[in-house]
Amino acid sequence: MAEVHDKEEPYAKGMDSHKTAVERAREYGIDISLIEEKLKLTPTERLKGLQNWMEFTEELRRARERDLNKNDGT
Amino acid sequence: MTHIEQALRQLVEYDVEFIIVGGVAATYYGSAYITSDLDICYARHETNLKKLVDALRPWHPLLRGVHDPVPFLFDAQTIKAGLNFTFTTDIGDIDILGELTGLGGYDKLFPLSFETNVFNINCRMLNLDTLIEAKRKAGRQKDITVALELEAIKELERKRKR
Repeated sequence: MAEVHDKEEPYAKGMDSHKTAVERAREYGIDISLIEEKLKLTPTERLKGLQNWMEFTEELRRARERDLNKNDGT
Repeated sequence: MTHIEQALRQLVEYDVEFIIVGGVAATYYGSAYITSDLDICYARHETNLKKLVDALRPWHPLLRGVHDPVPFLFDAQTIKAGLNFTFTTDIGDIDILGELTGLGGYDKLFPLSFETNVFNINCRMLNLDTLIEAKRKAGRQKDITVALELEAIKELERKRKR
């Protein structure tokens, strides 16, 4: 099947307009497999995942703060 | 951390006219980019400013990134006098945007958004093409990353539908 090409000029420096959007994203360093996994979820599941991630990073931040208060933080 | 569900529920309960834009909208579409705040574009008419202030006030919004204490009164008049505000609140970081760069405000974005249901809450989401445009126009490194992701998502979904 032929690849779909985005007609718009790429706006990120040095991008090849003849490449597909997926190819451009991959070239830029984006992990397409992560996106493919997200697309298997419903939008609400994606937002719940984001919420869980935020809670997890907050817990990590608190743990780091606790450790810094306990010792020299190294 | 921003409690997205709680924030959205409160805004809807107070009948605030707003559109979800930014990183949360990108997550909605499938972006893997992790955002830490909720960005909304709000309607600028006076009734809505009052509702918005009433909805957010219980969480004690403060200007984010202001290190020296500045006098800031969180009321409809202050919001009317400004446009885009970045707040830190008791439930996390919430940015309220009167306009998106190069795209305009709520009235212009309304027809470019649609009603959706997340967390069992009916709210408005900026459509994918406009979100991509917004990210392109914002032009920061992180915006370009998200724009490229969203374009890839659009392409993957187009292929999937064939």
